[in-house]
Amino acid sequence: MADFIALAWAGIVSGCLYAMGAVGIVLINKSSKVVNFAHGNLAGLAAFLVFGFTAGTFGQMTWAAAVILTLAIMVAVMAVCYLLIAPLVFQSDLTSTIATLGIGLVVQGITQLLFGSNVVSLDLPLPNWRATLGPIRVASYDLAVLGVTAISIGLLYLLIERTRIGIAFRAVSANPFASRVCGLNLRGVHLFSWVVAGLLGLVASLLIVPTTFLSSTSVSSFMLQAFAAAVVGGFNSLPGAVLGGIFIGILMNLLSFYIAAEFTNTYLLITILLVLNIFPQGVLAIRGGSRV
Amino acid sequence: MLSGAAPVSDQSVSASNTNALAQHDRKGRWVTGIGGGACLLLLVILPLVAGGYWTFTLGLCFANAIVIIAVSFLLRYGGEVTIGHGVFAAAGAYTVAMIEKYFGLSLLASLPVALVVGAVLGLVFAFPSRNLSGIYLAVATMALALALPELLLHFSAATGGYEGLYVKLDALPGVPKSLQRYYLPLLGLILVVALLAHFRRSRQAMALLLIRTSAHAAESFGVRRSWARLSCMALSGAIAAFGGALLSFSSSTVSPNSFTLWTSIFLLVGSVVSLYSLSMVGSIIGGLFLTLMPLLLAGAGDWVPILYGGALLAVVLGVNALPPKLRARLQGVRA
Amino acid sequence: MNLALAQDAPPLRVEDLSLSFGGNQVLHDISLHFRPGEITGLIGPNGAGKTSFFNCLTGLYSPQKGHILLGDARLEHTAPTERAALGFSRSFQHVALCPELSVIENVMVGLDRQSKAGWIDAFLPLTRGRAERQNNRALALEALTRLGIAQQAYESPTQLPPGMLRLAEIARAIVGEPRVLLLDEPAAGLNSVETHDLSVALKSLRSPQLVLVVVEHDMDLIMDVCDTIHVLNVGRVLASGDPSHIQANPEVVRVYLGDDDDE
Ligand SMILES: Nc1ncnc2c1ncn2[C@@H]1O[C@H](COP(=O)(O)OP(=O)(O)OP(=O)(O)O)[C@@H](O)[C@H]1O
Ligand SMILES: [Mg+2]
Repeated sequence: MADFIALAWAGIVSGCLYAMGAVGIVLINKSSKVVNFAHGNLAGLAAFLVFGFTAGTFGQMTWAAAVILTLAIMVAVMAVCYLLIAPLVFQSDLTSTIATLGIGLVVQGITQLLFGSNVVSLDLPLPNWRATLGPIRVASYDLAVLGVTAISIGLLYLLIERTRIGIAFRAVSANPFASRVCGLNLRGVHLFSWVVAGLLGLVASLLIVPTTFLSSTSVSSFMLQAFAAAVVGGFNSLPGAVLGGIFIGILMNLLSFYIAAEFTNTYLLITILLVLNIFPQGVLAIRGGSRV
Repeated sequence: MLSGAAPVSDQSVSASNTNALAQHDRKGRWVTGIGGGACLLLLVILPLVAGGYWTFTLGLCFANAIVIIAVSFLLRYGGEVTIGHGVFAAAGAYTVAMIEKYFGLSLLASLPVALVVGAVLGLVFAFPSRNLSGIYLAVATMALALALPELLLHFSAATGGYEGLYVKLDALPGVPKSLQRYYLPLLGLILVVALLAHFRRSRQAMALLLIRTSAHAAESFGVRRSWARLSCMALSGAIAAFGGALLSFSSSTVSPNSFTLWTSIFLLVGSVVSLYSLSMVGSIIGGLFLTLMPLLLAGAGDWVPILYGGALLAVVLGVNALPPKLRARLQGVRA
Repeated sequence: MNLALAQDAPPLRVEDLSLSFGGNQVLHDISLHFRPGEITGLIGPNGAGKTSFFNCLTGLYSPQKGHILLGDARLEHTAPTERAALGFSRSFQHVALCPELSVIENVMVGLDRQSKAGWIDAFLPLTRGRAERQNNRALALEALTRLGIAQQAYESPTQLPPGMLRLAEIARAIVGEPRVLLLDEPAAGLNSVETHDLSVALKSLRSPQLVLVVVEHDMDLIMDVCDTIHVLNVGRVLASGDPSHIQANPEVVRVYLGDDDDE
């Protein structure tokens, strides 16, 4: 039982990160019906940019400065990515989704060109603190993850519920055609979702790096977790993505402890297939009938 | 119920019109037929004039072209993106290698088995999402591609682990190995293209195409969505496994390294570059792209993903920028 | 058509059908009877629920309440594809042809449910499959001829004007010898010549084997071809009767006057 609780706790922590990845994917899918396969590569690039600015490749800034600079760069990068596929978005979701794979490849290559394919280490500037609560060991890292996730998701919630662009986003995801007729700027909303997704990706990738190491593929290797989280949540629901992320985090921890650790992707595959079969609309279904 | 009612003159007009159309068609077919025949002849005599290196590379190219056709088939008839087709190719390739390892039988015996394995794998894989439309399959294929190496390494007693397995047996005893590795994939490609060309005119193909563009209409005419999903995936899986089987024969090895997520993504790039073509020319272009790029770029290292990604974007955006008529012609919408 | 068969043809009955989307009640307790051998018109202003009613009949929408009966068979829980197998066929208000198929191939899809060619025939040129395909092609051409667009049989829908597409869509609906044929605004986008051809074609479809229901805004066409007309207004049946009856009904006139000026 103690094992179980400790595993679940660790699962929640990593699940938060998957959730942030999944929210980014769902945001883009909700606004423009595009599945962004470049998400992981973009997040990886973002983590490397922070590394570059703090560890000397481009400069030796403080963490705060590096993160702010990277945020700004990511806004630009995401905008460029969206503008690249913009001509396709209204033509075909399929083609646009394929195009994101192209973007992912290019971003991957750029990351390798700039930073090489070696493994580097990037440590978060966190106090070295830990405590034990019964079976649970809590480190400052865990609290940082939970806190940052809560703040990010909370901000996103406010952004979507309270701001003009958030309302536009909701309108567009509910009915793109009607929103367009009502004069909403669909491009603006798409751009909004891409940029927000990119920023969430940056945050998630910075937080995920301490659990592994940083290489040109290490961040994108978590893509599948994020996609699985999105599928569990129904691919079309932001709260679903958050819950899906935490669910996947816990499940993967339990499975790799109790069964075998080397089958992570196989578990994810089986989870995805099972969820699709049992809850075709995701666990938190929002069913929208299509018009005929 | 439908007989009568139409004025006789109308019918004769339409009849003569279709005759003219048919004649025009026939003439066009002659021209393409002769051109195609010449190209085919060139491919057939090529190994007699070209060196072993080219024969070997082209053999791989034809096998890759078949797998690319599988990806394009799924895109055209199913409207699905896949980034996991490396797995179906791997299924075919490992079938050949394992049948050789355990039963000592050659490619000719294992090819039909590979076809069935691919189809069954496609069915099993598509079954959970049979009633869903949209992007779920793409995500699931990604999981499939990532899970494959884990499984291959775990069952290393059978699959040979990291090293993989060898495919050494001759399929056609007496014929030089290099020629077999060239002609069998070529023959396979011709077969697949011919069968698919015939398939395009079948009622199944028409039903699949209709359900892809208007699902509600197709359902109202008795075409089931789950049927469409499952048959597309099964056919595509079978074609990919067929290609993979020939690939293992031509390259004489199979290993997890040749079927990673990257393989699958590059297959999709190849399909895009061929404009999702199901024809000889298109698929060979895709196959050449897939086979030659890594060789040409051997020294370029980090530029490889950029060039692949750039090629994909260039083709997709370039085609999109063409005027609609030309685009339709290029993609062979009216086959 | 012999008499024994004619007696077999079942009527289509709808009882207490109600449909809503969220809080939007689209159909209220609709009860209607459609007889084979007749052409029934279904009219009503925009948003009355005519298309939704058709969608309930073919199974694309699931009504919350009520029954749909073909003869004695209850259909409300039958899948759209199975209703197609029972002989339901329809055209769509928003033309739903496949741009990658030629017009005649689109029409041939209407014969899919009664075709037998299997997967072997799909891949190999065997005689049986080929014969069936030729037969289907001839039937499709015949249906196109009836609607006067046989000339365009081998063209792509992307290159045809909307009126032709509409006719092709109707051809697809009629080609499979349906027992229940539902046409949703068949004359929308047609010019007067095409509309006239259509009305001739519709009348020639009348048969004791067929329940034919037409939704249409073109009153001249409806009054010309229909034996019975039902008027739908915001999800309720406002009036039923023969054309002269309906034309004289003051309520119908009132409902329609508000609608007429935007046409
Ligand atoms: N899938 C759906 N989801 C939500 N509401 C729907 C849906 N389909 C139809 N409706 C609503 O049902 C009502 C009736 O629509 P319907 O299309 O059946 O009308 P109609 O009589 O065919 O009108 P028209 O003459 O314009 O074709 C409308 O208010 C429409 O908004
Ligand atoms: Mg309507």
